[in-house]
Amino acid sequence: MHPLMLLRNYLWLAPAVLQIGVLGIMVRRKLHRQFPFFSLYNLQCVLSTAVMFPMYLSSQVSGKIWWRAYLLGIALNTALRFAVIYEIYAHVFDNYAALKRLGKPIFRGALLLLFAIALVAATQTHQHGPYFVMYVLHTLEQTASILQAGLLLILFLFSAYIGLSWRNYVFGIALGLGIFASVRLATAALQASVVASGNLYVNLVVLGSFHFAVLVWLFYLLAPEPGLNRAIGIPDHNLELWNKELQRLSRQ
Amino acid sequence: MITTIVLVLAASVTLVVLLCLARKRVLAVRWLQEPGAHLRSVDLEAFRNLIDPSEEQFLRAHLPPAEFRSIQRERLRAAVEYVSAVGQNATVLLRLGQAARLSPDPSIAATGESLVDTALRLRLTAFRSLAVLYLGIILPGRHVSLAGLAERYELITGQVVMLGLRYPLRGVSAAL
Repeated sequence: MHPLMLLRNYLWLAPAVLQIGVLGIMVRRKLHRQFPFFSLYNLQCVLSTAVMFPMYLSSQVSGKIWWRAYLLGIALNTALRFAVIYEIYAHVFDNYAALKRLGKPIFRGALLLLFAIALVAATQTHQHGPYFVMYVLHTLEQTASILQAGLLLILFLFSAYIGLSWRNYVFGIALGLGIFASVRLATAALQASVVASGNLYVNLVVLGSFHFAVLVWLFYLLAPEPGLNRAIGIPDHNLELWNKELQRLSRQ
Repeated sequence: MITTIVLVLAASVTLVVLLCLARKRVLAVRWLQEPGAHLRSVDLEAFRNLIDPSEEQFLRAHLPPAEFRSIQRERLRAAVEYVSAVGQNATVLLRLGQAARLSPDPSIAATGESLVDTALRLRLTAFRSLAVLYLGIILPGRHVSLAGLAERYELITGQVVMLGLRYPLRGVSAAL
């Protein structure tokens, strides 16, 4: 087997194995209750790989059947990614009483704005190559990636500006998805107009970025929460200092 | 082709921003170890004078319009500095509150929760105030109202003191 094909197979299979680990950690830490769609998304990826990879290798499965299964998997996968992003928004905003009412309007507003951008981009993309179905598929993937990467970028920038700190696992889930969505956006844009659909190098980049995203999820799920212990640990009250401060406040 | 280039560039920028934010998160953890060092001092009385509506009315009534607009722009630029400092302090205190509310001690957690809420409201008020101030700089004849900002800042200072009585804040209150 050609080394690049070997690498492709590794990048196809390894994330699914790692995602079993992600699911295991989620269940062990009971995070699947907080992030049911993210858990479902991982499960769907694992099952999809378990079905699609043997189908790809089998000579008994026709190309038509394989494509139908592939398209079904892609549609389900994309829908679940949107659900995960909504889940992240809900988690970040519901955590703060002062922001609770802002979550939905920001999500909807960002979605509308990004949808308009994606629509303009889709109409400006011109068909490349003989396969119209592939062109449509890549344009749809490009549209979905604009929405997903944009939604996550807006959430990250808003949080950074306001100064919200996220729990490790929430940050990791969003970061991994954001990395994958931005790489997918670039590759889908290239596939929709410039690069041939079956280009192995582009496929390797997509698979590699997903592998990296899964590693990011694993890292942040396993990493301890930063700073909290050090900040809360040993009280070193300086009553004299605080007394001065109270006096200063009472004078104001 | 241009759309493709724009989309690939946008995707690259998004990727870089995400990676920078991941790095910034690591730096934010260091803030918690020395929060006082990241606070900027705010002279609340001077700020109050700067945004006092009667002061503005007095200047408007006694100065020629062109001079009033020039002075008003200067006053608003100075107010932008104060509000930016208040916003930055709110961010530091928000992080502190977020750490405190995870404390196993219920009283620290409750004060932390309250601090988070006030800091967040202060941060949003500072954000709105900055927009109002910049609008005022562009249109200096317009009346500028920053209701509640100074009061919220005072409220948060009190909460920091309350939190500091139970929790190591390393000079935060003194810096405020």
